[in-house]
Amino acid sequence: MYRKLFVLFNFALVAVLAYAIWRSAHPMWKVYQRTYYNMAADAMEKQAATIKDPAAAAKMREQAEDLRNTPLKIKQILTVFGGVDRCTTCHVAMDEFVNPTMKNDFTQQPYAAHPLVDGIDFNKTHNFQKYGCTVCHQGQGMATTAKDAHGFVDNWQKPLLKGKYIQAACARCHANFEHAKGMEFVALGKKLFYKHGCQGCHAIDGVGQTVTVDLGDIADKPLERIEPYNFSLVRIDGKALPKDQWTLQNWIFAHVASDPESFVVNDPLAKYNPQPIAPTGMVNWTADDASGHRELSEQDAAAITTFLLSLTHEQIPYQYHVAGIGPMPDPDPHFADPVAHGKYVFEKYGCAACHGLLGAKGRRNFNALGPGQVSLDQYAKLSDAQKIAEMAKGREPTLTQVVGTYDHQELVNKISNGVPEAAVARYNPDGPMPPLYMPAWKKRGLQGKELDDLATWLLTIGQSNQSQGGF
Amino acid sequence: MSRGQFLLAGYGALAAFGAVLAGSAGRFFFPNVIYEPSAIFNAGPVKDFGQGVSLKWINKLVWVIRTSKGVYGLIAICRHLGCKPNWFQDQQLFKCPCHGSVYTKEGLIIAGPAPRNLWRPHLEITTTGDLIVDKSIVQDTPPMYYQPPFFLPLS
Amino acid sequence: MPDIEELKKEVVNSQIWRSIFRGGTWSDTPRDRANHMIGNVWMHIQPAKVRKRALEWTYTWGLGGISFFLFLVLVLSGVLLMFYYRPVPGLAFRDIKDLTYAVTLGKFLRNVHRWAAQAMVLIVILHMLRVFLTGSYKRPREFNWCVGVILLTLTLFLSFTGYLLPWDQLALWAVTVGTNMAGATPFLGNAGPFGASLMHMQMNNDIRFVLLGGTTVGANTLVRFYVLHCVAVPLLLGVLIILHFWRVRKDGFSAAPYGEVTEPKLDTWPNLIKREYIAAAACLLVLMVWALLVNAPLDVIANPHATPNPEKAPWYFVGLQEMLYYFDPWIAGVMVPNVIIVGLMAIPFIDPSPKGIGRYSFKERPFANTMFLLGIIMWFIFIFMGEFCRGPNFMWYWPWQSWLLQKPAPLATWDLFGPAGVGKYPTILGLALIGAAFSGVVLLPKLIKKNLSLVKATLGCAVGFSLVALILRYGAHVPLSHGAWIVFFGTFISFFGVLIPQRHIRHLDWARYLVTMILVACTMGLLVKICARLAFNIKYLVTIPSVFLNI
Repeated sequence: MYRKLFVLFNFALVAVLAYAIWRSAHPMWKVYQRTYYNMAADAMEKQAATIKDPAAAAKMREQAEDLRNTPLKIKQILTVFGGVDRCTTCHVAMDEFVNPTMKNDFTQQPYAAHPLVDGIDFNKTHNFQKYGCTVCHQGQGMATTAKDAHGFVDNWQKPLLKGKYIQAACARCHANFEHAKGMEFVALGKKLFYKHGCQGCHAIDGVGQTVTVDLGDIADKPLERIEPYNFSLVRIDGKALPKDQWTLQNWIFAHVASDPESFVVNDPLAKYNPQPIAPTGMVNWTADDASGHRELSEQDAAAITTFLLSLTHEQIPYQYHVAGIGPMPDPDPHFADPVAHGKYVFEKYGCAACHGLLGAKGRRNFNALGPGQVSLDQYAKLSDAQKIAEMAKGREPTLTQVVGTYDHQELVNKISNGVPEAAVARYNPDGPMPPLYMPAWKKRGLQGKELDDLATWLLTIGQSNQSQGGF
Repeated sequence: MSRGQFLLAGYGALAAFGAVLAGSAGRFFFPNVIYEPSAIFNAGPVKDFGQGVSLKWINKLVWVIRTSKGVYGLIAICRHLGCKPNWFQDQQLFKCPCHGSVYTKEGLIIAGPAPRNLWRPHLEITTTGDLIVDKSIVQDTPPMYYQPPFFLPLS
Repeated sequence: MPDIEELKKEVVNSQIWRSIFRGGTWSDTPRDRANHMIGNVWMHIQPAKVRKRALEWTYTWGLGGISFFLFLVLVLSGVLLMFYYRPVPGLAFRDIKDLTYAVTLGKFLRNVHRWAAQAMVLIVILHMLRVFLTGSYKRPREFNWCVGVILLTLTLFLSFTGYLLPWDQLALWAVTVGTNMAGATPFLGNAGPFGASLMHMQMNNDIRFVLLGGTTVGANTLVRFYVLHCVAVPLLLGVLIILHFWRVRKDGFSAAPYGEVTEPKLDTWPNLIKREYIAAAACLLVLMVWALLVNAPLDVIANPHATPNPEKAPWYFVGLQEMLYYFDPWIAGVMVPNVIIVGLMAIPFIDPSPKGIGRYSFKERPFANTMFLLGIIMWFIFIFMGEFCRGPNFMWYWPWQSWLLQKPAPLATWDLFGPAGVGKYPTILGLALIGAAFSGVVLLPKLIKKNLSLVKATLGCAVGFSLVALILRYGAHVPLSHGAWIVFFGTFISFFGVLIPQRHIRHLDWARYLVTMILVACTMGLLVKICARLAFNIKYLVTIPSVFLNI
């Protein structure tokens, strides 16, 4: 009995250990690397067949043979930022010591060479042996399996940036990217961010308003803070996200592209918590409103996401910060016309965040007293869903409709002093605190000529837009 | 002195040697210098903090909270076992992920196992209007909790 | 093909072989077999002959041997891992990534090390259970039982120190929590009772500071834990293992003898050795397959500014973590582990009964087995609760519930006894009442001289507590669901804390009786506090904030 077990166990031990060694000795990257060498050698031989000079052809065949017999190894780039990128272990065509031209005709990954983007040879501008790969592409540089390296795994914070999203990486080093070639998408994102008044609620590194989270290091948001969100409700292009796509990129995109309310848990009727929780004041930016208008396309939302993904506090050595091409935008442009200046001020302080583009459409301010709400006695009889719909009718003022009731000095006072958070009239007194309120702008640097011109401009939109009936 | 007493003295000396050796070995494990970031930092102009809880200095493990009455800081270390609580803006509560301690916006413990309130750091406003936070001087009990320098009234 | 037996004989009888292994030519006689054990430095930790019962699988289950084998596996794999590991924040994490991705068999090795460590904790606990149930800690083995308890503690401490080394989120926060518990030590920690008030303990001079080498988990902590994990603790453990083995052998080896009866003995070689080999081989096989199938976890790199939500300790500490939810850290984090360790060590000295040595017998040792199993089961229930029933913000989520489900915020807690403004009733009253209740539970079993019927008395208690619940319901508007907690815990505590001891140990001498009952009463006290928390949301029974003393 024990003799049999002795033999059996020893065989089993040898077998398991042998399997472990075999598995360790046969990683997928070896297959990729060998396949690449064979493909490259085949291509070279094909080319040799077209060469007339027999000596040159023979030499090329010899080179091809050498390439075919290259020993397999883990390749790595020690980057100037102190990282280690082993991407060229599989993506051999990106290794300039193997493929000096950095070009090939392979289309299939991981064999393809780095494409030219807008005609730019990236190895010339951003030498791969110096900068590595993950500085732009993100992903897990140290990993040697495709899944882990691309980073769509549980324990990796920054997976690959795909498609146009990669421009986020450009903007991390290239200041003034608005004028640089190939960074149009992230520049568009930045433009939209300010145009729609995002900075009216979200400051970036302290610049902007503080209604909610500062986005200055949003790209560093740790995974721990993303996991509690209900990704299973998020739809991108109408599709649910597979679990490996529950990433920061999609988290931001979902916040911009759909109503955050749909996947952030709220509790407006205090069912779970003694204190009711208002939904965010954010708009469903990519949905049509009643008049068929849509503020952002999904493409716009992706552009804003790209811009936000560039906001990091990761330390980049100063010598790798690029000032950029073209003129820096004037931080305080001069306007001769006070009305034009007022409009500029309106955008500068992100007033659109609450009052809509050009003040033409007040944003939802949940549970604030708004027009068209049923009386509170009737409210008590409504179903839960109807109650929430009723509370969602709360709005920030649509300036085009209300500025007419103020004179210039009243407007200036109102903007200067604001409405304290606690004084915002609630529709349902037991309901949650409305998320938006008018801050006292005099404490936030809006004063003097800026304030004066803003009021001047505001008084002009009252008449002009009312005739068009808003948008 | 008898033979026995003499030997006893010897044992006594050995015991003393052992005790001193153990004591000095113990002392050895207390580092005299440590490489930790300074406990005091400049949090920028106090007027830049809007009403509410600011996460701006969370990497220094400090929340700066501005109310209509003034400004105070809370150190983002749970008084239970040192995890970093999270701020839930919607519920106006700090909740610790490790053992479920719950603190109010003022830093008072209201539920869960933490025995004490969150620390409030020493605050000071310079003549230039900058807020200086000193984490080495802290307070966790009323009434000092609500008084300068742990709560600075602002007009 | 050459005859294997002939070949073996030739090798074994060669001059080289005989120079290494003492003794003359090998001729498979009883004397030779004995000599094989005695004359070999590695083998002679075992006696030449063992009782037949010691060979039965269902007696020892090979648990002690497997524990030691796992220790050897851990030492070997650990030393190999050390060749690729640098204990510096940042580098440490990268080196683990390198082991995973770029070192031949590195991932396999790390998996083996990790899983062997987890297995060792489990096997050592089971080994202790086996030794207890067979009464093998009784005279003359009391001291060796104590050594075993220290070995168990060191095994857990090794696991804990090793936890920090990958420098990932799991590591950082588990160690933050673990070392903060040290900060709650009475007198020696800055947050412990009498620590700050009496001993002037601060963040930068208390026991936690020594453990961390700083005020937060940082580079100093990593190198301290590295030295502890790789050198200091394994050395100590090794020394104690030698002591443990030496005593096992001197005290008559496993399967403690039945009193005076002489039992037949068999040669250790090959009878015991072949069993040990099979156990070790099976263990190694399971371990290797496990290491091939499941990868050791590695979270994202340590980030002192974000705690994972929820953050859970390694499974063997989750029970403690769950208890930390109900108790002040100085009780759950310091007193409970220490009382458990001291209590375990006290067992051989408070159990003088010569019955039930060397066999599994519930009938002969009803009290000892009931109480010990109760303790073990409670420990594992706590582990289950902490591991499977706790979700974000450490709220209660049933195992089948989604963690995305919104949970009500926990209700505000209150203190029963404490100074004015903190507790509902005065401190002195609380201390007096708790003292009275504690001494009541401790003394009652010895004071009741009658033989009680267990069934009737239990039913009586249940009826009594139901009456209390009803009175509370109609007198103080305490909901019936809370009353149900009172009935359940009250009856449970009366049964295990009073009735069972009354039946079995009231004849014990006062010294042993008191120590035993204090341990029992402490265990029951845990349940009382948990009941108070669950049913009435009471945070502390007594609190004296000025000296950080909370019960």
